[in-house]
Amino acid sequence: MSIVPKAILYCLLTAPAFAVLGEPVAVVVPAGSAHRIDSALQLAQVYRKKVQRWPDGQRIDAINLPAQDPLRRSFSQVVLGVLPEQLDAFWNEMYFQGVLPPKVLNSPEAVLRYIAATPAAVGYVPSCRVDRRVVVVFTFEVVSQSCTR
Amino acid sequence: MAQGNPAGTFQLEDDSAYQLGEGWRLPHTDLTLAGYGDASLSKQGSQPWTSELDSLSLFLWWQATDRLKLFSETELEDALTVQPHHTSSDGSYVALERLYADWNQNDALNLRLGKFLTPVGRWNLIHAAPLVWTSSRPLITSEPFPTNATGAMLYGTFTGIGRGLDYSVYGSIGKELRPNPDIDTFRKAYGMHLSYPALDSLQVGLSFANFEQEQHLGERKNLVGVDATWAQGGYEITSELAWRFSSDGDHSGEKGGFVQAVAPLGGRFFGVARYEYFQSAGQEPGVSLWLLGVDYRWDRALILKTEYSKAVDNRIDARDGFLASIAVLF
Repeated sequence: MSIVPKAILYCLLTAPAFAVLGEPVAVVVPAGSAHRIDSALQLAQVYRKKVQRWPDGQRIDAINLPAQDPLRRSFSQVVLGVLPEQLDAFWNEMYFQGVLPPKVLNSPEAVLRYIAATPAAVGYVPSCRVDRRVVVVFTFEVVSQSCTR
Repeated sequence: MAQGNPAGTFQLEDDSAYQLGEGWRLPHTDLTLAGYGDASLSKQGSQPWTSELDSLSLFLWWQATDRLKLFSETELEDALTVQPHHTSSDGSYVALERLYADWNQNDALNLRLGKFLTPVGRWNLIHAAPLVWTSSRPLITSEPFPTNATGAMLYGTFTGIGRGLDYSVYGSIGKELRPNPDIDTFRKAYGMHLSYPALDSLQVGLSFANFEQEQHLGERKNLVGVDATWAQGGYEITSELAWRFSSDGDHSGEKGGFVQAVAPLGGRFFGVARYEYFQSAGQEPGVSLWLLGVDYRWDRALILKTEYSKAVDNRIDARDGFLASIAVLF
């Protein structure tokens, strides 16, 4: 299913005055990695830990931004279909099974550094923050503040 | 913090701080300690007000290797009961809820060996007090089948099927690990559970079990169940239905179900309403239970619940009346 309609709907419902419509977001893995994300559904399954391994058998190390970060909230709404706090019940249930949610890092730069140093990691950052340390494996658009903010 | 990364190049948020509901990873180990607790205050019919420490449950899991995880849940049940002029711990019991080893081959294939929660419906798999909206548990989620099984289970997610089909297939030859004296445990059993997210907001499930229990040797039972959960914007509707058929005939059959609705009332308050019906073996008509409640969800780890339930045709002494509780996930 295309994620674009969800993004547009989210824009209409929540866009603040300074928002940029269609801000691209890049899903990234370490430079040189063969790991790929083929669809928004696969990305959602990774971030719900329904998919926990890459095809080569390595355990996926998915990285999130803090729950109040605007990019995290947009990512959650567009890719997972709900805001982070609406996943509390889901993660409580997973926790009861001994499964913890994705790790949280404080900033896009921290995400980039972690991913560059971790072969099985995957994360998301604004497209304008992408550099040679990582490779883009999937993109989507959300409402977010511009890169310079 | 993950190993193999240069120190100081990134900071895991709250890496050093413990937070309720997120467990505690023992430093320099792959051990995680977690759990939940639950205390209640109740008034049933002519019985006196009763306060209880209902459960104190500890999870301990160890990621022994990349693919092998050991998991245990030990629960102190009914540790303390306080009534006017009477305090007792006579009913306390240390239960082994779960003790198993998980081997993760891939996302679609995991092997579990040991004692685990019987995968029938949804409530039994998430029954911890902080995870559910009511202090009382619908009868259909525990009465027609043993809630734990000791044996082997294959489970996983077929990610190539639509939004991802979760399955579990299990078998038991009895020999329950630390059997709970309140439960008529499996002697021989096999079964399966399927769960599928039909929508982002809707999860549907199907259960089947064929079993014989230790206290009813020679009686073979078949259980079929369906479950569904819809949740969106703070609203939630949950339902489970189950039928149990017996080789001994209709008089040993059981059936029932519940439908439960949750709605946000403003702030952290939620209203809960539930209707359930349960027909126990040999009892006709079955009991109907109506429940209304208000919950205060402090955060994802702490919840205060109040509820009042009324039973009709209550031939099995199903719990009704006023019940309040506090539950915390730690």
